Amino acid sequence: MGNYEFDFNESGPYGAAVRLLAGTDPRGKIVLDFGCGAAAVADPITTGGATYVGIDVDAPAIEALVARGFEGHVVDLTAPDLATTLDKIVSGRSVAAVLCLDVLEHVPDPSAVLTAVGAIADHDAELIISIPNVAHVDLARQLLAGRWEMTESGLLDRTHVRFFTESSLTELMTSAGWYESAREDFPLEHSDQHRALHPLFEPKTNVGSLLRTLRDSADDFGTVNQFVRRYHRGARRVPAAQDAGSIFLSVVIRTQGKRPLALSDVLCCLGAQTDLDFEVVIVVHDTARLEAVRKLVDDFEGNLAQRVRTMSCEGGTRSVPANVGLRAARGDYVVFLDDDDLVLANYVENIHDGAKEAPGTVVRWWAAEQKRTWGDDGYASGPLTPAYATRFDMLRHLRQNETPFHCFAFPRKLLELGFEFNETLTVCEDWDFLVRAASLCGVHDTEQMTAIYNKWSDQSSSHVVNADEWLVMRALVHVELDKHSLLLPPGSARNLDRVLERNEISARRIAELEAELAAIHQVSNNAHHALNELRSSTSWKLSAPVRAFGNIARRLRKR
Amino acid sequence: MRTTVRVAVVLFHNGLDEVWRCVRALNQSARHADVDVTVHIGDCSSTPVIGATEVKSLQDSNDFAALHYTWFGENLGHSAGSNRLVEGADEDYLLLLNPDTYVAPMLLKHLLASARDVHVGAVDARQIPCEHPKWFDPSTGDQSWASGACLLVRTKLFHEVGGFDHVSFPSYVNDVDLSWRLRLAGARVVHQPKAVVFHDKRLDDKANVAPTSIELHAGLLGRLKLLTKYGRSDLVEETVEVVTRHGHDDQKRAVADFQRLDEDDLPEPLPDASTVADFIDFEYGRRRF
Repeated sequence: MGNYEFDFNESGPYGAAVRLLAGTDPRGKIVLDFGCGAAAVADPITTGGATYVGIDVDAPAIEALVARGFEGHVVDLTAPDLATTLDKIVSGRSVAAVLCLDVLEHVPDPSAVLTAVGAIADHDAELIISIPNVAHVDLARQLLAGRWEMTESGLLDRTHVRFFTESSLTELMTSAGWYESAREDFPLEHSDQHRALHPLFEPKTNVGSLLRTLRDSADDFGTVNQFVRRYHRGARRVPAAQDAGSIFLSVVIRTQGKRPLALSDVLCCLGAQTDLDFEVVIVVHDTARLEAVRKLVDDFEGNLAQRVRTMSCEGGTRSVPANVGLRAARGDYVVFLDDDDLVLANYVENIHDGAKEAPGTVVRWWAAEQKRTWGDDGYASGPLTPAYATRFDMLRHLRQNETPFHCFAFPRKLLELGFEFNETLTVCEDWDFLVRAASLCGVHDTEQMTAIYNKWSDQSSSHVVNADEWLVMRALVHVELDKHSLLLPPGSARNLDRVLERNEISARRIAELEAELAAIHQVSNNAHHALNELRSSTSWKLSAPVRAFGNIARRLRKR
Repeated sequence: MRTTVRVAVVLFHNGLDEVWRCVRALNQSARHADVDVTVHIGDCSSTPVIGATEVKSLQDSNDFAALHYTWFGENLGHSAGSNRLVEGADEDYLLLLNPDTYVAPMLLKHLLASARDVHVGAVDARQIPCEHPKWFDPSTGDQSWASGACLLVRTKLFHEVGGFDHVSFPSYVNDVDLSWRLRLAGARVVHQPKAVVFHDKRLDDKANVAPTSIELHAGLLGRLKLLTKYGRSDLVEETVEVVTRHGHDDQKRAVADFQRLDEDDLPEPLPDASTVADFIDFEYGRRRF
C-alpha cells in the first residue's frame, strides 16, 4: 500500500474534487479514479449515481478496493500501451469523468497520461485533477534557508518526479487539449514545509512579511497547497513561440494627442539616438486622436517609424495609459517619456550603459530644467539649469520626488512582481512607482545629464494640479508605501544617523531658544507687574499733580 | 518648375552611423517638401569616412536626385569645405547642414515656406534639444544672425556675397559673418521655430554645452577677427584685456595667435558694418536668455 491512505474529508482537496464533479451528471456512467490508492472518494462518487472504477499500480490497494465491492484494476500509468489497457477497462461504457488526484506529479510523462485519458473519454467527459503547488511560499522560504527537504508525503513527497506551478500546470493541460472549467484550489497558510518561529516563515517578522508581499505580488497562488481543477476537452494548443529577438529598452510615451509639435520634437530626439536598441510605445489617452498620432509617426523616416507602436485608451487617471504602455512594452528595461520632454542623443546609450554596469537596478540619470514659452512653436525662454543633478537618496525621496519621470528606467521583470502604476492616483504615480521599484532594485546613478525637463510658462506641461489635490495624493502614496516593508540601500545607516543627528541638534537649539524666550517673557511680565503696583500705590496717586505740572512746564519750554 | 535644393554637408572624422542618421532624416524631409534635393558631402577627414560601396548604398537607399561624396584629402575647414561643395551650384537654395544633426520631417517644408518672402536671404531652424539662445522677432522671425548648423540660403545670394569667408573664419563664427554680409546686401536673415533640427549636443553636469578646446580657441580667434572686420577695434582691446585676466588657457592662446598676425592677415574692415554688427555683452546680437 502507498502513502495515501487518506480518509475522505469534505474540507480537504478530495472533498473539493468531489464537489467539482458534482457540476457534472455522472449517473449511469463510470468515473475512473487514476492512482486511486485507498479509494477515499469511492463512496461519495457512488452515492452520486456513478459507477466507481479504481485504477492503481498497487495490487494490494486494488485487492482491498475490490473486497469493498468496487471495481478495480491494476494498471501502470507509465506503460507504453496505456491507452489500449484503459480502452479495455472502459469496454464501451460511457465515461463521466476521470480523476487524477495527486497522480500526475508521480509520473515522468504526465502529458502521455493526459493523452491516454483523452483517447478513452467521451467528448463531454470531465477531467479532475489535484496536484501540489511547488511555488507555495513555504518552499521559497525553505530554499532561502538553503533547504530542500523531501518528505514521506506533502509538497515534497519523495516519490514526486514532476513539479508544477500554476502556469506550468496550465501549459501542460492546454498542450494536451484540456481546458479549465472550474477550480477549487486547496489553500494552506502553513504547508507541511512550514517552520514555526523561523523569521523567514513567520508573517509578523520583517523578512517574513516582505517575502509574503513579494510572493503575493507575483501571482495569487502563494498559499495554494494543491491545485484542484476541472477540465473540459478541446483541441491541443501549441505553445506560443517565444520572441526570438530581445529589445533592450521600451520607451513609453503617454500623450493626449493635443500637442503634435511637441510630440514631433520628442520623436526627433528618439530618431537621433546613437543606440538604436529600443522600441517606442505611444499610448494615446484619447482614442479620437489615435489616427492623428499615427499619421504624425508615419511622417518620420522608416528607421524610427518602424520601431513605434501606437495604441489608445480611454478614461481614468494618468496611470491608466501608463499601465497600458507598461503591459505592451517588450524591452528588458522600460522608460517613460512625456510628450513634451526632450532628450539628448545619448539618452538610450546612457541607460544601456547603466544597465550593463548594474543589471537589474533602477537606472537613473539627470535632467536639466528649461523654461519654455507656451505656444505653437514652444520655444525656450530660459537657460538650461542643473535642477535635477542630484544623486538618488531614498530618504529624501520618501519626502518628495526629486526624479523627473523621464530620468529613471526600470527592469520590465518588475511586472512579474505585480508592479504597475497605482490607478487611484491622479498625480504622483511616477513617484510612488519609483520608490517601490527603488526599494526592491536599488538605484544606479549614471550621473549623466541626458534629458531636459520643460517648465512651461503659463500652462502646465500636461496636468494642472492644485495644492490640495497634491497633498491628498502625497498622503495616499505614503499610506500605500506603509502597507509593506521598504528596503533601504547599503549606506543608509550612516545617512539616517546624520539626519537624526541634525534633528537632535535642531531640537536642542529650538529648546534653548524657547527657554531664552520664556526667560524674556518672565522679565517682561515682572516689569509690567512692578509698574502696575507702582501706578496703583498711594504715593503715585498723591504725586499726580506734581507730574502734571512738570509735563506742562516741559511743553512750555519746547515752545 | 520644381524647387531645387543643394544640401552641403562637411564631414570631419564623423562616424558612418552619424552620416546615415543625418541622411535618412534629410531624405524624409525632402519627401515631405516635394522638392528636388541633391546632396553633396565633402570630407575633411584624414582618411575617407565613407567607402565607395557605402556611397552607393546611401544613394540607393534614398530618393535624392543625386548624392555626391568628395574626400578633400585635407582639412579645408567648414567654410572652405562648404564653399567647395557649392561651387557652380545652380539650385534655387542651399541647405548648409551639420552632419551631427537629424532634421524633423517638416523641416525643409517650413524653411522653404519662410524663404518664399523674396526679401529673406537666409533662414535657420530651431535646434533641439539644446535650443540656441539668440533672440529673434517672434512675429517676423528677423534676427541678427543665423546658425550655420542648419541654414537655408538663396544660392544666388550666397554666390553674390562670396560665400563663407574661409580665410578669416575657417570653421567658427563663419555663420555670423555670412549672416551680417547677407544683411549688408539687403537681405533678411530669419529664424523659423517651426522648422526643427536635432543637433547632437551634450551637456555637462552643470547643464552647459561644454565647449571643446578647439571651440574655445577658434571661437575667440574668430571673435577678434570679426571685431576687426566689423570695425570694433575698441572691443578688440576690451576682449584682449578681459581674456588676459580671466580667460581660459585656450582663449589666451587665441589672443597670442591674434596678436602675432600681420596686418595683411587681418580682415579688411567692411564699410557700413555698424549697421548690421551687433556685439552685445560678448555675444553676437541679442539673446533671449
